Amino acid sequence: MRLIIPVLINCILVLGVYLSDKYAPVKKLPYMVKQVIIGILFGGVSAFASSYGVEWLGAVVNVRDAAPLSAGLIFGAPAGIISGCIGGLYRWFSVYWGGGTYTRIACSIATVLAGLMAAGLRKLMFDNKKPTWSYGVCIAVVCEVIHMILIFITNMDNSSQAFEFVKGATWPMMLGNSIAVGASIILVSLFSHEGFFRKKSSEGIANTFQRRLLVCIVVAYLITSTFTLILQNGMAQIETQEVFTVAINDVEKDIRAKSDDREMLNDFVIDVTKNRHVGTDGFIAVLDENLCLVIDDAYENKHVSSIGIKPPEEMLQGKTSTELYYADIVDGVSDVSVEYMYVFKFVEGYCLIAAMPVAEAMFMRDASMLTSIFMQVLIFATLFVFIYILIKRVIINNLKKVNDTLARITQGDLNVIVDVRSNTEFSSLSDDINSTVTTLKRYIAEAAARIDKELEYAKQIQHSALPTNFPENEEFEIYAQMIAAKEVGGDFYDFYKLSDTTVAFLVADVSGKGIPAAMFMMTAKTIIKDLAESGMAVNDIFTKANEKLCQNNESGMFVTAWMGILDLTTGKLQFANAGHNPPLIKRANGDFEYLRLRAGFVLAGMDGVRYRASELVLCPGDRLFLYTDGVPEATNTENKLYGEDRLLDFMNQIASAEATEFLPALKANIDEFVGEAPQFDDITMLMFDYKSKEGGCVRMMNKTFPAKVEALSDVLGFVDQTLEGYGCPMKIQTAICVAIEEVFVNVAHYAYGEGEGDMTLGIGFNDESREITFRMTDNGIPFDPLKKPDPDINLSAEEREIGGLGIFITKKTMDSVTYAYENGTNILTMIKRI
Amino acid sequence: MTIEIKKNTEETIIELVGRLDTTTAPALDKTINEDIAGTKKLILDFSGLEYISSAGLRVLLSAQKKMQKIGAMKVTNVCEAVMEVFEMTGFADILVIE
Repeated sequence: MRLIIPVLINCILVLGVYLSDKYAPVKKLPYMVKQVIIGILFGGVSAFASSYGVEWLGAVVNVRDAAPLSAGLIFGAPAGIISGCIGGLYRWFSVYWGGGTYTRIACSIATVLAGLMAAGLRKLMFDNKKPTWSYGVCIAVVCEVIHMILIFITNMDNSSQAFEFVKGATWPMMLGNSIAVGASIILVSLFSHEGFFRKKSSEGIANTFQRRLLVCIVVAYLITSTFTLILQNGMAQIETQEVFTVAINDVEKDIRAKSDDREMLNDFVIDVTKNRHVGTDGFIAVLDENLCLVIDDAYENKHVSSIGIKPPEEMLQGKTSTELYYADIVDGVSDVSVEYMYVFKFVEGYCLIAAMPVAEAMFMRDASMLTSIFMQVLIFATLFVFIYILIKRVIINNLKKVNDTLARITQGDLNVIVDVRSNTEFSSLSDDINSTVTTLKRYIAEAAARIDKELEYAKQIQHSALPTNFPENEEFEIYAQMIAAKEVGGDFYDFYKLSDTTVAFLVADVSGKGIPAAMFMMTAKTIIKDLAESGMAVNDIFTKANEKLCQNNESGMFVTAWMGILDLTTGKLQFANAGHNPPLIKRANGDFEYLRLRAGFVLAGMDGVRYRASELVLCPGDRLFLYTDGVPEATNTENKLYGEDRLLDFMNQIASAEATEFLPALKANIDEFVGEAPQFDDITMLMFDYKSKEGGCVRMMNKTFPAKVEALSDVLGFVDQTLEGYGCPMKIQTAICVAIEEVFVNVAHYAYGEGEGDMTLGIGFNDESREITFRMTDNGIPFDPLKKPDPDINLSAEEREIGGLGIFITKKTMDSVTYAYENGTNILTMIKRI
Repeated sequence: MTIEIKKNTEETIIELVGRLDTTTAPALDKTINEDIAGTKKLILDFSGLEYISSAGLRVLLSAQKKMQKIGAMKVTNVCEAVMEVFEMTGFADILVIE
C-alpha cells in the first residue's frame, strides 16, 4: 500500500525532530525559529503525502492531513498552522501538475483546517503539551470527518460521485491519518519514557474528566448514530416505497383508463412504461397473466425470470403484495447483474413491477446517514472540546490559582491571601484557607512570644555575668561594653584583680551568635577566670583553657581571645593572643597603633595547642583598647565593612577622651557608618587606662656590648644618641660620657679576667623627675667598684697615685651611684638629674 | 684624636683635637715619651680638645711629673667640660693651666 510510505515518513520525521531537540545547539534556538523550521518540514511532508496518494475515482486518497496534525499537536501551535498552510497551498496549486480538481477546494481547506485545529486544541485543551496517542487518533478521525464533509459541501452538484468517493475513501484516509498521528505520538512517548498508560494517581482532574466525558460522549454518539441509522434506514425504505407507489399508481391509472381496448393495451402499456422513470435508474416492467414481459425489445414475451426476477409466491398466486422484494436483474445492454428492489401490483390482469437499483435507493439513505453521522461526530467533538475548555476555565484554572497561592504560603509568605471568587465554592474555599492561615499565624506568633520572653531572661543573666566597671582606683581604669547582635551574644570581656599588684583583663569572641554561642561563652569565661586565679602565666592559662574547652566540644565551637596580665608595680604586661584581633595601644604622648604580635591559634579549636606569651612595659598614660571583630566587620547596607583603618583613624581623633565617653563615641561612629543595616555581629569594647603613679615611670632602653675597650665608642655613641633624645644639655652629656667610660673600662679590663663577656647598658628617663637612670650590668667577677677609696685630690703631682681616678669621677659626676649583685650579675645603677 | 707637634727652639707645642679617652690616651703618652725628647718646655694646646677621661688624666700626670724635673709644662685653651674634670679631680692645682 502506497500510503504506508508517507505514514512512515511522518513518523520518522516526528521522531527526528523530537530527538534533535535534545541537542544543545538545537535546543538553544529561539522558540519561533524552531516552530517555523518544524512548520516548513512538515509542510513538506504534507505536500509529499499529496503526491504519494492512491488515485481513486478521480481523486487521491492520501494522508496529507497527518503532517499538520502531528506538527501542531506534538511540537507547537505555530508549527501546526505553518505546515497546514504549506500543505494546503501545495494542494491548491497541485492541480497544475496532476492533482484532482473536484476535491481541490475541500482538500486544501481541510489541510489548513487540520493545522488550525491542531494548533487550537494544543493551546486550549492540552495546555501546550503533547496529547496522548488516543487523543491523536481521535483528532485525526475528526479531521478526516471534516475533510469528508467539506468534500460533500463543495460537490453538492455532483453528490453521487462525491458520495462514492467518500464512501470508499473515508476508511483508508481515517485509518492512514490516525495511524500516522497516533504512531508518531507513541514514538515520542517511548523516547520520553512516558509509556502508554499513565497511573491513575498522577492524572489530573482534567484528564480524568476528559476520559469520562469522552466515554459519555462516545456512548451518546453511538446511541444517536444507531438511532439515526435506524431512522435513516426506515426513512429510506419508506421513501423508496413512496416512489414505487407513485410510479405504479400512475401507470395503473393510465392503464385503467385504456382498459377497454385489449388489443391496443399492450402497446399502450409498453409506451407508458418505456418512458416511466422510477427514480434515476429504476424502471417499470409489465407482466401479462403468464408473467411474461410486455416489452418491445429482446425480452418480449420472455418470462420475468429471464431478467432475473424469480416470481415470489404472491406473484404466482396473482396477489398484490405490499412487500419489497429483491432480485439480481441482468442489464440487457451491459450484461451486468445489479441488485434491484421491486414491488408489484396486479392491475387489469397485468402485473406491474416497479424496480429500482438497491444502490440508488440506498444512496439516499447512505448519503444522508453518512452526512448526519459526520455532522454528529463534528457536533459531539465540538461539544466535547467546549465542555472540556469550559470546565478547565471554571474549575481547573481556579484550582491552579488556589494551588499557586498555597505554594507561596508554604514558601513562607504567611501574609498572602487566597482570592479566587469566581463562584460560591471557590469563594468559600478561599475564605476557609485564609482563616486557617490566620489561625496558624496566631499560633506561631504566640510561640514566638514565649521564646522571646525566655531570651529576654537569658539576656539578663548574661548581662549580670559580665563584670561592671571597677571601683575607682589610682592605678588603672577599665571601661567595657558588650552589645549583642541578638538577645544573647557570644562575645565577652572580663577583668579582675589577681592580687594586690596584678590585674587581668581580656576580650573574647565565640564563633557564632545567639544561644549556642552564649552558652559556650559562659563556660569559656569561667574556665579562664579559674585558671587565672590559680596564678598561672598567661600563656599557660590559654594552653590549659584550650585543653578543657576541647573536651566535650562536640558542637565544634571555638573562641578567639586576647588576655593581658599587668604587674602594677613594674608596668610589665604579659599578654597572649589566641586568634584574636590585634589590640590598639596608645603610648602616653603618641597615637593609637595596632599591637600586632603574632597571634596563636584559636581556643577550643584543636587539642594540644601551646600558646606563647609576649611582654611589654606599660607606662602611665598608656591606653590599651581591646575589641572583637564586630567592630571592624560592622557592615552597612552596601556591604562595606567599617574596617581596621577607619577604626584606627577614628580612635586617634578622639584619642584622649575619657574611657566612659570614648566607647559610646566609637559606638556612635560605628552606628553612623552602618546606617539602616541590622547589627551583624556582637560588638565588644574594652578600654584599659594605666594611670600615673608616684615616682613616675622609667622607660629603659637596653643595649648590650662586648666588654672590650674597642667597644667604647659604640657604648658612648649609644649614650650620646639616647641623651640627645632626652634633650640633655651638652656639658652634662659630656660629663656623663666620661662617667660611663670609667665604669665601662673597668668592666672591660677586669670583669671577665682572661675570658670574654658582655656588658649591658640600660638608660631610662623619668620625664616627671627629669632623672636619667643608667644601669650597667655584667656577669663577671663580683666586684663593687664603690668599695675603692677615693683618691686624695689634694696631693701634689709627685704624690698623686695613678689609679682610682675613674670611679671617683663617676661618683662625682652622677647624682647617685649604687651597686648590687643579683643572680650572678653586677649591677651598677647611676642616676643623673638634668 | 689628632696630635700635631710644632717644635721650635724654645718649646714644643702639642695640639690635640678630639677626645682624650682610654683608646686615644696611649697615643699621647707615646708622643710625649718619644717624639719630644729633649724638649725643655712643653705646651699642650687643648683648644680642640672636647673630652677627657681618667686615662687622659693619667697621661697628663705622668707628663707633668716628668717635665717638672727637666723643665716646665703648661696646658692652654682648656674648654669648660675639661676644666670641670680638672677641678673635680684636683688636677687644676697640679697642672699649670692658662
